[in-house]
Amino acid sequence: MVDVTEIANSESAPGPAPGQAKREPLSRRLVAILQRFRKIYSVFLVLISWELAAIAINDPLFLPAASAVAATLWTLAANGLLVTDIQASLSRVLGGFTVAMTLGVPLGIMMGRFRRWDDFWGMLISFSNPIPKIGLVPLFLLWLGIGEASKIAVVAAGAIFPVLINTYNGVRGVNPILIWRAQTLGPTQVEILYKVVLRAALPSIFVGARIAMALAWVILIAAEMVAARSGLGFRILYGQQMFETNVVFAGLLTISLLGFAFDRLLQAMSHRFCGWYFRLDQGDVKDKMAN
Amino acid sequence: MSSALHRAPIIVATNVGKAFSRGSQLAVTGVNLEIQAGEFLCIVGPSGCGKTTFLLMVAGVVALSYGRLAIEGATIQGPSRDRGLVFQESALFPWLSVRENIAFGLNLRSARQRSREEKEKLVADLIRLVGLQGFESHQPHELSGGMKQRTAIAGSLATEPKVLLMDEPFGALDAQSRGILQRELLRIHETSGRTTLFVTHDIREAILLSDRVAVMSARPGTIKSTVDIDLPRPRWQSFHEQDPKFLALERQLSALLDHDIRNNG
Repeated sequence: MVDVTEIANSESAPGPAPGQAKREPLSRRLVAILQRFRKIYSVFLVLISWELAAIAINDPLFLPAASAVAATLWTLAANGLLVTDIQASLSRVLGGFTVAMTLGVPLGIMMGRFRRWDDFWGMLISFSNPIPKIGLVPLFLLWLGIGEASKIAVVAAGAIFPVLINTYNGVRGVNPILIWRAQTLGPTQVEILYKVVLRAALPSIFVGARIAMALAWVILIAAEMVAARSGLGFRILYGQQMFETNVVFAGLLTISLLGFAFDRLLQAMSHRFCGWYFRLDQGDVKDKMAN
Repeated sequence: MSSALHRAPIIVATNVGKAFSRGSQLAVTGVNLEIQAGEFLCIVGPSGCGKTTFLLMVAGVVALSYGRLAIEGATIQGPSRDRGLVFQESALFPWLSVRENIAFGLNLRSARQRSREEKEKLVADLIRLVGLQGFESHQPHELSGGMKQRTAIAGSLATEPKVLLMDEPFGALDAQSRGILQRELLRIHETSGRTTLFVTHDIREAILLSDRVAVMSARPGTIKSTVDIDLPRPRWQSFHEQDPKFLALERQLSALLDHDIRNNG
């Protein structure tokens, strides 16, 4: 049988023609190297423009240079302040995210699979989804105190919605034929849920998780600005109050890097556990080649 | 061979009907049918006649609107491992390999009393039966349409159902793969004697495979007549489609179907 992926790959990266020298010409190798980093040119462009603009404006209170922000990051990292802030924010984000996943995924599955669950919870979710979650901070402070619990609760309250909605949609989209076929093989109701429904909805659940993770950071930083004595949100606000614009930028940059890392992690997990979903269905091509 | 197994009806349909919503036109109406143990019965009919709906009701995944369906005297109330189901569109679990797909039913709690060795042997036997040796670790997306259907058939046989229900399983295959899989299905049926209810719109396929063909009409979706296929078995090694008996049956069934299409067309 012919390997179809090989054909598909060879199209995008043509090898040297037969008879040609084994070593590719310099220009071609240079193009290949440039091609390799094609996704980060925009980032470099912004960093360089930022640096030049800061030099031109020459007002670090208005716009500190990228290099100055890097230096600030280094100082904050060295004196341990950055580590403490990251620890505080990270534990709140991961705490809230975990709560959102543990409640959102099972509820989304039950609502997607069983009419009664959908009927019972549907309206409640539609009404509570549009509530701005930052508006809940005073309430949670009142109920849960000024400790960690109130911040985790706010994050969870926001992050649960994308988890819930994407899980629900994923379950609704499971091919009924897959469930019917499984049902004729003698599973229990629970086995249908975790061996078929959950597995089939997993790609959607990961989409929900990625949106939830991004939203968790947004909500947490806002919450830390309103009511916290630690964390990256607190650090950014504190920097502004102290007229240290470079600290504001350092805080934002840290959040951006952390958010990026977690998104990549979730994306990698999604590819690891739902590889089947991302592979092109080559069945039709194979049919034609096998016969 | 399987005609010798005709003893008692294993599945009995009594006045079975289905309306998909209240007051809507009936998709299936007044179907009466007895399927004998060990019999290979085909339902042929024009598209939209309700033959798939009837099959899904026998499987228990679609509820009846009226009438009764029973297996070995007990009313069918839902899907069960008594009745394996194979679809036209391959319903393999795309996250499982060929071996895992075939073993799916054996890895459920309902099969926990069977030993690990027994299960492994059964899966290996099934892989050999459908000729998928060497493809055990392949993922469904790496398989051709014919291989997907072999995997689906093996997966349904793994739980040893009393009845195998097949909804145009070869309908999406090219002529050559279809021919090969028809012979293989004949061989599997003729060696195991498993009761099979097979839905198709291909008359030649129906004659080749079955002991009896039920002709279904559209509007109303009901069984108009049944025709015995008294061609000798086993048929899987040699079968002559030029046999005058075969041609006569083909003419007879075509006439029954044409009549229906002309009346409703």
